Amino acid sequence: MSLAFLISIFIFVVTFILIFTEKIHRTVIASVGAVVMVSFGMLYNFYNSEQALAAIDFNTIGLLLGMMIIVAILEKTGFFQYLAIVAAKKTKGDPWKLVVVLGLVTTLVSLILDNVTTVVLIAPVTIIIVRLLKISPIPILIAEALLSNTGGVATLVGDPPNIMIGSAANFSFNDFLTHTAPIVFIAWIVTLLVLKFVFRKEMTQKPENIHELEKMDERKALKDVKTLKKVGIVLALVVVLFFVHSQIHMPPSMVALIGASLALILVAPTKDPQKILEKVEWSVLGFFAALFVIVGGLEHAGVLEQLAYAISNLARGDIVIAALAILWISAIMSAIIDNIPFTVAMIPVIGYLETQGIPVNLLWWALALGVGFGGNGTPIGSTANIVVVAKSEQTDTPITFRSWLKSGSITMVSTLIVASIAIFFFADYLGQETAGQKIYNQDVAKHEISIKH
Amino acid sequence: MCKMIKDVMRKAYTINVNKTFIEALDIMTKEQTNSILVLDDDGKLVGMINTGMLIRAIVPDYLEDDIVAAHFANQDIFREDIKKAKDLEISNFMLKNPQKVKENSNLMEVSIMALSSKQFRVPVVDGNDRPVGLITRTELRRVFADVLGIGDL
Repeated sequence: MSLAFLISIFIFVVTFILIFTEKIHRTVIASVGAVVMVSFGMLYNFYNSEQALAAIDFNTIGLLLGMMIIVAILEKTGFFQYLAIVAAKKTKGDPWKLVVVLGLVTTLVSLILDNVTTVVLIAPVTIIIVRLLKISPIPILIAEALLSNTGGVATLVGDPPNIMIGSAANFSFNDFLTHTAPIVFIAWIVTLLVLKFVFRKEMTQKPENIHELEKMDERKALKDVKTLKKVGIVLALVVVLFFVHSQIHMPPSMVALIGASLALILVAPTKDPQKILEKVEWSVLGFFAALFVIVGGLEHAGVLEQLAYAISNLARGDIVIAALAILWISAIMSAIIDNIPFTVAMIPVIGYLETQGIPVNLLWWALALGVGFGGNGTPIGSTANIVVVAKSEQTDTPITFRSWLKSGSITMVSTLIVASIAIFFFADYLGQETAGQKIYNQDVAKHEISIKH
Repeated sequence: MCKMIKDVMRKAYTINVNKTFIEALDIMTKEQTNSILVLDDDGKLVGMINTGMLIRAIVPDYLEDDIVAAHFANQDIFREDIKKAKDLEISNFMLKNPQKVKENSNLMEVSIMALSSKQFRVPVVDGNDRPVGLITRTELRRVFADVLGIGDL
């Protein structure tokens, strides 16, 4: 074992432990870890700054940046609150119907848009609605987080791990719709049933002041209809482009950046977009970039190759068992630690397994389902969970760790069982080359031919 | 000669940090003042409350950045939230470690502090951090009038 090998592992392990213990902010420690990795890489000749730059997946960063800009413009229009009120009024204040419709709205919005922003904007108006009705906010707030986490696994842009996995495996937007979405649909229904069971007592609460709910005028929520219409057009275009991005040979990041540029020129053509750009979560983007650089160091030192080699025999033995192992391990990991660093570290390992001649598609889908569903397990499992718990703190019934565990952990286990059954019975289908990959591989082949000529 | 801080400062009302929302509100109402300085058990300045802080204590955190949701909170919800704030400890909503000046500091420094949107009022403390007075924008305006010979109001 070479010195480079040991040094890179040491830097990786120390940085990741510090990230998971959350004593130092994750972006700060990841940046430090990244520069230390590159510096030692140059000193011991296993990694340099150009390789570090190449290790950053700009497709992931670009996609997130583009969507963040669109959301930054959209969130001030009051559109999220408008949707919540429209949906809530249809329920006549019935607690169970509120769980279903507000959970549904949150899920549908977060299929395309960032689910943290969605929850941040829908939770306060939810609390106001339940206070008017004098019912408990807990089931509805938890439902919004759990259902949007579960739903997020259905699309390429639903949550950051999917973006990263899609980018690494060359899965298209439609690949997610034809592979994870059907599983997610069942898991989403199961989540709803779990909520109904766990909160059966709260569901019998009789709402008061239903007239107060019906009096709410959703149009009053719309603060800027002009901007909303413009962003609406942009979003419609973005969704259409997502559906065809693979066929027109356009990476998803390009779609998001087209949307963002279009939104900027439609909404604020003459103004400095500084105010909008300040809303972009640069800290998150920096964190992701730094993680790619750190894991890149590990990759160039040959560590991941060795690791993949070590587990390749296991995967070769039975790919379904390997997929189930990835599903459950990644779910448990993502329930207790930040799922992004875990995903970034897992991606090159699965990538190397592919070079060993192992058909890895089933493993990619297992990873996406695992990190996605695992986020429901604890109040810290996903950022959306942290948000609803924080928002509930000043209500009469704050969400406690226990009340989360009893709903979230059952949800996590039941949705994982759904995913396990799907992996077990549809292993062949999930393991096949996807439509998006076929187009990508043809493009690569064409490109290679044109270089030869 | 231009007046000094100690010539213009007004009386500062104080309250112990362990007291509650309603006790602070009581002093502010009875003494008709918009700010109280908060002291620890040794009588040292640790914070300040003004009317803005009282409003912050009433408004639930989840509504602070959400004017849209707040639009739908009716009269009953507002009354409920006021009642909820009643026994809140001052340390939960006071402005912690406010900017402060000494008696012999210059008035330009106070002016800069009074311009900041967070803190219109500046506590004056002695060498041991014990409050001796308070400067507000009104005192500064009086100094302007004095310098330009308009006379004291």
